[in-house]
Amino acid sequence: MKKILVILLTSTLVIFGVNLGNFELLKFDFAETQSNIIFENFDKKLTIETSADQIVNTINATDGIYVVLKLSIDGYEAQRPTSDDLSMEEVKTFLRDHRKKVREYHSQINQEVMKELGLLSIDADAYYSSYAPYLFLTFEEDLTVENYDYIINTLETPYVETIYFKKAKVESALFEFESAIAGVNGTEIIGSPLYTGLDVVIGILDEGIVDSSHDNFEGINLSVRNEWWYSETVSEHATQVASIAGGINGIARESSILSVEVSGEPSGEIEWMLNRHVNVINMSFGYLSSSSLGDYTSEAAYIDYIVRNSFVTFVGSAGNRGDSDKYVTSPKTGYNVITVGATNDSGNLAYFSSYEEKFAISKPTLVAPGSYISIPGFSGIHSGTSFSAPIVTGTVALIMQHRSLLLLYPEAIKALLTANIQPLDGYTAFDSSGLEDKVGSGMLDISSTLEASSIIGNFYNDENVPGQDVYTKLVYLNAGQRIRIAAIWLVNSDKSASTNKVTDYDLFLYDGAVMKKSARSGYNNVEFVDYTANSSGQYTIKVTLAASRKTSTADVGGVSYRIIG
Amino acid sequence: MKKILFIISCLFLLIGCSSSVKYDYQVLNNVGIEKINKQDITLIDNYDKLTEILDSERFSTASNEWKEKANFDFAYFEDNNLILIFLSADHSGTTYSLKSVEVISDVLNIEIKTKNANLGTDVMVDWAIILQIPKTLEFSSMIYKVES
Repeated sequence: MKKILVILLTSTLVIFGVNLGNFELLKFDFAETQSNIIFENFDKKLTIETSADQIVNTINATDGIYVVLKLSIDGYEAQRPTSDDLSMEEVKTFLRDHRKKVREYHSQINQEVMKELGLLSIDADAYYSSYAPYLFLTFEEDLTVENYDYIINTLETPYVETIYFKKAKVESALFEFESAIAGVNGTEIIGSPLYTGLDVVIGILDEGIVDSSHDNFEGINLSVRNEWWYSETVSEHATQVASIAGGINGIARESSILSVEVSGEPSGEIEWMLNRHVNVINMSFGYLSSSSLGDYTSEAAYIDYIVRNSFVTFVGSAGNRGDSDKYVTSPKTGYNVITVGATNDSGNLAYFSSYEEKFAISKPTLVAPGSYISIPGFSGIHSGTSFSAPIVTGTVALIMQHRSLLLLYPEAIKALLTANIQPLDGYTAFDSSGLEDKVGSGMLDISSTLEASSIIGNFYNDENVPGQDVYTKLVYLNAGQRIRIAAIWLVNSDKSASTNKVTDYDLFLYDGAVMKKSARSGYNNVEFVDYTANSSGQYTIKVTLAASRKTSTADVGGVSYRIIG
Repeated sequence: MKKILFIISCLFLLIGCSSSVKYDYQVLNNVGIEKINKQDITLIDNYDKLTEILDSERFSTASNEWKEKANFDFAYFEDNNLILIFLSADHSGTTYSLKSVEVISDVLNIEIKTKNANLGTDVMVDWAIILQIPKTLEFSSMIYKVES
C-alpha cells in the first residue's frame, strides 16, 4: 500500500510539472546480457526448465509472493567532490544533493521502464526503487500462468537482466557492557565529548521499531517510522540494538537515530531512511529460508548497489548459526556490507557466530563482543551477533563524525575497520583474500580505527589495463614491526553473475623489487595482508588490477593499514 | 464383515494404548539462562532438589517469570515429578512446542516441534519447557528430540 502511495505521489509530481531531470530512456548502455530467473526461497527446487504450471503451483502454495526485476541499466555514476577539505555541513550538503540526483535518475528511469514493460496492468502491487535499478511486484492473490509468462517475457526486452521470485510471507515470533567496550579499546573514546557521533544519522533496520520512550534515548534525536497504514511493532530487540549503537549510554551518544521495521523485502524501509539522510544502517536481522542462508540474494544485491551509489554504510550481524550449518544470513552476505561476528568474554569466537558462505566472498569482515553481554538500561545478559553489529555501527558513526568526508566513502570505512583490528592469533584458517575463515581480519579496535581515519587511502580506476597499479604507497617498517593492510572496493553484482561482475584487484607488499606478501583472491572485493618485517626499510603497498574491469563505471576502493610494534 | 470391523476396532484401541499421554507443560522463551547444553534435560523428583536448582548460580540470571512458573511447592512432589528442558534458538524466528511424551522401552521420549519464520533477528534466544509428569510414570532414562 505504501508503495502505491509513493507511485501516486511521484506521478502527481510529474503531472504537476515538477522537473525530474532530463533523461532519455534509450540513451543508456545496457550491461552485458545475463538473463536469469532465480527462485530464491521456495521449499521445492525450481529451475527455468520446470514447467510454468509446476512453477506457478509451487509458488501459489505459499501465502503471497513478490517478484524483483533487476534492470539491465548501468548505475548512476556516483561522483565524489574534488576537494577533500570539506566541513561536515559541506559534506552533508553534497550528500543531500547527490542523493537527490540519484533519486531523480532512478525514479524517472524505473518509472518509464515500468510503464514500458506494462507492469502496471498486472494484477499486483507494482513499485520501483528510487535509488537502484530494481522494480518490484507483490502478489496478494495467486500468480496466474499468464502473469508468470508475462513477467518471464520481460527478459526478452533490453531492460530486464534478472528476475527473482520470492515467498513474501514473513512470520516473526517474536560481560558487562563496559568490559565489552574495554575489550575493543573503546573506554577512552566512548564518553569523551570529542567522540559522540554528533551530526551522524544511524539507521536501525530491525524486526520492529525502537521504543522511543525508553530512557536510553532521552534527548536523542530519534525518528521512528510509524505509518497510519501499517501496524508497526515496538521491539525490545530494536531498542537494545539502537541503545548500543546510539543510546545515551551506548557508543555514539549524540548521533541521530532513524528506526524502521522491516517486514518483507527491505527497499521501501531503506529508501525511507535514505530520504532522511541516513549515513550508516545497522541490520541485526536475517532472512532464514534454507535457500537464502549463506547465499547472495536479491536483498544483498540491492544493498550492494545502494552502498556504491548512494554512499551509505551498511553494518550487519553475521548470524548465529555457528553451531549448526554455520551460514551467514542474508542480506549480510552482500559484498559491500560490513559483516560482524561475535566474540565471548574471553576474546574468542562465540560458538554461535556464523562464518560460512555459498559463494566466493570472505565473511565475516571482523568480530566484536556479542556473547553474554549486558546492555545499558536492560536487565539480564544477552547473546547474539545482533549485539556485535551495533558496536561496530556506533564506531562507524564516531569515524564519520571524526572525519566527515568519510560519509561519502563507505569503502574507506570498511577498509579502516578491516585493517585496524586487534589480531586474534589463535585463528589461522586464512583464505586467499588473507582474511581468516571464522573471525575475518580480527577483533574491532575503536581507538586504532579512529586514529587511522586521517590517513586512509583511496583509489579510482576508470581504466582497463590488467596488471596496472591503481594504488601505491610507501611505508617504513622497522625489523619486527607487523603491518596489516586492507584494500576494499565497492561492487555491484547479482546472484548468477557474481563470478563475472566483480572486478579482481590484488594487494601486494614489496620490499624494493621483492614481493614479500600478497592477497590475490578472485571474485571477492577485499584483500588483506598481515606481514611482519624481517628487515628495516621502505616497503611499498600496491593494489593492482588483476584482470579486466567488470563494471562499466569506474571502480572505487579504499586502502588502510596499521603498523604494530 | 463384522469380524473385520471388530479387528480394526481392536487395532485402533491397541494403537491408542501405546500413543503418548497428555501432560501439563509450559513453554517459555527469554528465560535468561545461558550456556545451554545438548540434551539439557533434568528430572526433579523432590522439593529440596528444585530449591537447590533454583538457588544455583546457573539460574541467578533467570527471569522472574520462569522462576515463578517453575516454583512448585512441597505438596506437588508428593504425586508428581518435574522435567526441565532448556533449548537454544539461533534467531528470534524459531518457536518450540511440545509434540509428544511417551515411554518406549523404558526410555522417556520427548518430541519437540520447531517452527521457523522467514525472517528473524540475530539474537540467541533461550527456551525452557517445564513438563509435569506423575510419579507413577516409570522410566530409567530420558531423551528429547527436536524436530524441524
